[in-house]
Amino acid sequence: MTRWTRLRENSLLLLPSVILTVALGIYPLIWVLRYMFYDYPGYGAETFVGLDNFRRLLRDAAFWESVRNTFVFAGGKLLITVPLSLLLAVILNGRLRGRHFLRAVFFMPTVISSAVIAVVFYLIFNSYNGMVNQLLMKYHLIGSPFEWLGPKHAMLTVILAAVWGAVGNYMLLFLAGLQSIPHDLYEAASIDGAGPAQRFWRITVPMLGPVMQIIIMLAIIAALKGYESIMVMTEGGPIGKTEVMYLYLYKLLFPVATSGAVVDQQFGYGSAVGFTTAIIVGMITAVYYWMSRKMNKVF
Amino acid sequence: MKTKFSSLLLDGVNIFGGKLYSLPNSGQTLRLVYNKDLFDKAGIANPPQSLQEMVDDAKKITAAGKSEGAYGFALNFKNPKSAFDRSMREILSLSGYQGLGYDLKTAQFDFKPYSQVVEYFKQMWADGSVLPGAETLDIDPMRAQFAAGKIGMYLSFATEPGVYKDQFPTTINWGAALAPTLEGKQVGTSEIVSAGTWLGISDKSKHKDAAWKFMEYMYQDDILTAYHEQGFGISVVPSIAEKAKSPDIPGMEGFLVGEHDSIWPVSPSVTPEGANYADAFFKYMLSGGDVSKVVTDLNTRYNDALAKAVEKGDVKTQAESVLRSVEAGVVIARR
Repeated sequence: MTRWTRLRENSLLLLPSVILTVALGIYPLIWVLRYMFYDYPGYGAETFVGLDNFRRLLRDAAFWESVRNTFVFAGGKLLITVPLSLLLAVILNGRLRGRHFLRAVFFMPTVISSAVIAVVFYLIFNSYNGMVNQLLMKYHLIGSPFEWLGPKHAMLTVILAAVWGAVGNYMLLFLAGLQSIPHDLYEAASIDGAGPAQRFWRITVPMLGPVMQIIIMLAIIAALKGYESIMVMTEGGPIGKTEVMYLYLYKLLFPVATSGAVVDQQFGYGSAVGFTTAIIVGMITAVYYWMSRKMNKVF
Repeated sequence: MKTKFSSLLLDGVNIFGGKLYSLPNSGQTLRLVYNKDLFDKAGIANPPQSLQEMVDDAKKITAAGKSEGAYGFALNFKNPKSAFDRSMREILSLSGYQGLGYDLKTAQFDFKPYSQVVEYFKQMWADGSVLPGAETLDIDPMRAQFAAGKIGMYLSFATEPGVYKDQFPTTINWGAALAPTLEGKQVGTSEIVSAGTWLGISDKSKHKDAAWKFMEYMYQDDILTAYHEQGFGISVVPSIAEKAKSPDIPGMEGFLVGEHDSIWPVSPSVTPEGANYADAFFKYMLSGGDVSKVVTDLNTRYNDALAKAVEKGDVKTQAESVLRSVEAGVVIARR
């Protein structure tokens, strides 16, 4: 086979992914980079406005509120998900009876669409006939319906739903990491008289370092970007209490039209918001990666 | 044909630049939907005429039904704009104000009247007369609760009878009535929405004659009457609405176009910076604050957006045509 034939074959095989990447990845990116300097409602005239969209962004209190909410949501989700999934992984990595079945059970939510998870959580937690309130009222633990999805507690409830949906996934990744730790390390430690706690902190955690660094990074990105289940459960409400950055962005690009009233899409401003949110997520990830660089050095 | 529709044709809806493009057929009336059983149980004889009565009734219904999970009032507040645009709108238009916060006389936005209606909603919320969790309700879950007899009243479009016939069949005894008003008097008319156009002809069409022939066929009395009677949509055409029988959908009789309904001139739709009026007012309903500041802020942002849209040429004709229509008295489609 000549060099040229090989090159031709290789390029032919690469072509589908190149086309998809350009059409679905690079083209939209250039589109956003262009329209963030325009006033464009999605149809008709587009007006170049320079940095106007970014000036508006700076004074847009609702956007910065959504950034704050994103940090609360992501922080809450990570603080529960990462330790919990590690704990589950360690337990299910042992010789526990029925561990294969339990692994499947915990992993199941990952397979379910987050929109469906959100609907189920809504049925469980809504105030007027949700299962939780019905149970609590039946046993007279509360007198009147508790507002799980009201302004005060909605954030906590959407975090719980997000944790439930994510734990299985990270558990699986941790399990893979755990199974790559050589068993002789544990045996040697046991002979030297190390207990379970010592084995966990001195062997498991450091040996998991590189894997954990990646898992936490994936979890951070997913938590900052997650909005689907919130959109279904609360639509960012009540009164903006669960509005996260990407949901705010989604609503600018695809506003809900109510009967008899026209709602304009704001592609120009939406592009500016999209660009800014991407920068925020990118910066946080970069800072995390830099701060966690030591986790990578096991030996 | 022209006389049949003469009272309905609006500049900026059917007429652009003096040319007629489309004709109306059916529209959505807006009403208060109420559970007669819950009203009876609370000892209330008639649906409320004024907003104060609505607040009082909601309180009574809640007191009588709370132990069984029934409350006086609800709306789909998960999306405040969807909730307000189906409730505030007819309350305001029956009270003599445009229902989306636009002042037709000054051609500017003024949310003062809107805020007055919001105060009554806020009161119901504070009284605990609103179904718990209403802030998380979409329209269909709310309808399901109404069908289950858990809600005393709400306000919505003429879509509701069809919903309780097919989507959420119900055994409760319910009815629809004109919305309550600020003072208890019908100063204006309840706005019929989505009513302006049904079929129209594009000015770029190469087959205008053929299209018109089709329209003539579709707009003959037989077809329009059948369309109304079989429940596809409520007729707003006076000569049809007068003679046609009520559609065979329980509850629809309360939604039929009557002397208190009319099509209103178009109001300009603008997209302001920041929260829309419904989100801003719903926030005030739940967490309080200074309502005059909310109104001033909304007026400033909406009128800024309006000025920008006019400058760009997007809504210039709309704002002017509204003024012209009001002067010419084309506001009414009474039968």
